[in-house]
Amino acid sequence: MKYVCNIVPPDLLKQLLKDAPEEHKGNVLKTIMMDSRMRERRSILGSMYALFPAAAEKSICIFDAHNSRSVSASTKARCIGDSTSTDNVVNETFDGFEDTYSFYDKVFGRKSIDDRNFPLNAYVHWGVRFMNAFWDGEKMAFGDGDPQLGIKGFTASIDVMGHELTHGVTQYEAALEYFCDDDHQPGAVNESISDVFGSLVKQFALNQTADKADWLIGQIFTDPGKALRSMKAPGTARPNDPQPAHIDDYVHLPNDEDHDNGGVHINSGIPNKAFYTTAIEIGGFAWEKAGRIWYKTLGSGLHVDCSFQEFAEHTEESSRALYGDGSTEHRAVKKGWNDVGINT
Amino acid sequence: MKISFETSGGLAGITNSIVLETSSMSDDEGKLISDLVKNSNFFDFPSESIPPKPGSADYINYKITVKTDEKEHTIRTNDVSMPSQLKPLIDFLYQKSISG
Repeated sequence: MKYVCNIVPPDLLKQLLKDAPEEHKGNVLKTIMMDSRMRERRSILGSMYALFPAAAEKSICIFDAHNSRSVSASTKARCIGDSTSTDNVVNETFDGFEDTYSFYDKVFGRKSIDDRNFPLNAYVHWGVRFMNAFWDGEKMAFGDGDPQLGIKGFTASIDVMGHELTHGVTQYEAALEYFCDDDHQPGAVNESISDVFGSLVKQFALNQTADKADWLIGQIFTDPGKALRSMKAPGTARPNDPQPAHIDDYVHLPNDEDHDNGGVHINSGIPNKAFYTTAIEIGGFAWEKAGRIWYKTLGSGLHVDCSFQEFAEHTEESSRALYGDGSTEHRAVKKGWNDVGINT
Repeated sequence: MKISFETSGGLAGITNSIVLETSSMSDDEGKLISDLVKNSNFFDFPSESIPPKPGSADYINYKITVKTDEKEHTIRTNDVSMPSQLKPLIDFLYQKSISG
């Protein structure tokens, strides 16, 4: 197990590179490169925060894109303080954003995705029969789907809204890159984190314990028996569900735009299952301990191109820090990862 | 004119593709798609997509190849950084792709 420690100052890293045996120079150089990227990111974020005023008030706004793919063609539909809309899609999106904000605030004390009340803006009725929802670094867009093709609108599922907003949290906390290859899986970790907290938003809203939750992500289908993904049983959410539930079944895809950036939505099944198992082993409400471990991990200094292995090790460290070495929670995290073939 | 349209990624991580031949379409539809290609200045677009903004996720990636008797060109784009000029063409092709 190799640790890449970014508490070591850059000048010492350079000295280590000079003094290290040849067979270890590669690892030291890799550390220097990753350290440099982390420090640069923190420096940029730090300088940006210094430009912003103190945290603003909570802001949620839903815009109607009128079936365009354009912000300029969109109109304001409902913001905080406005009365309920006549458009049910607007209202369910607003409610979903309120629920997600409330979850992060009440459970983790976090004010919006950047903890400074970054405005939560959503564009609904995006495109024509658009079968998707996405986060673009500043806003979310939700399509209407097409019930005649078996897909409801993407705002019908609270975990989808929690999923998309969590991409913003990940952006600010860890800046994980959005790809997978054989050595690095930051994109699948990014996707898994969104599924984890998307599911927790739903469980929190429904006041469900881990054993009562359905652990399904994206019940956007007109068939109530189908979902986009299952965290409990990856690969079973719908016909032709490609998700693996074990590292031995990792789906090797080219890291390019034609293959889901290396299968970020496919291989997320592995860390998803690890979280499910952890939560079930601990018991009770999943957000209280398992969710707290994963949230702490998000801000633990992950490398932006982390692997499943690194992420797993960070969750184990977080569980030890929060609950103690050998605690029920620590052992649950180890079992969660062991069950998917990743040993910490 | 032959048009290949592929999508990948998105919240569901699904890939999809269709191939259209204007010679197999009605005159009206063939002219419609030819006009969409022409009005988008398709052949002037660079092949590589504009990268999505940092932190973006769950966007669909689009790959479009247009082949005429004289030339062939492929471009890539995505939900986040799609140039406005391409939107009408992509909207048309997207509707075709989801309708089967």
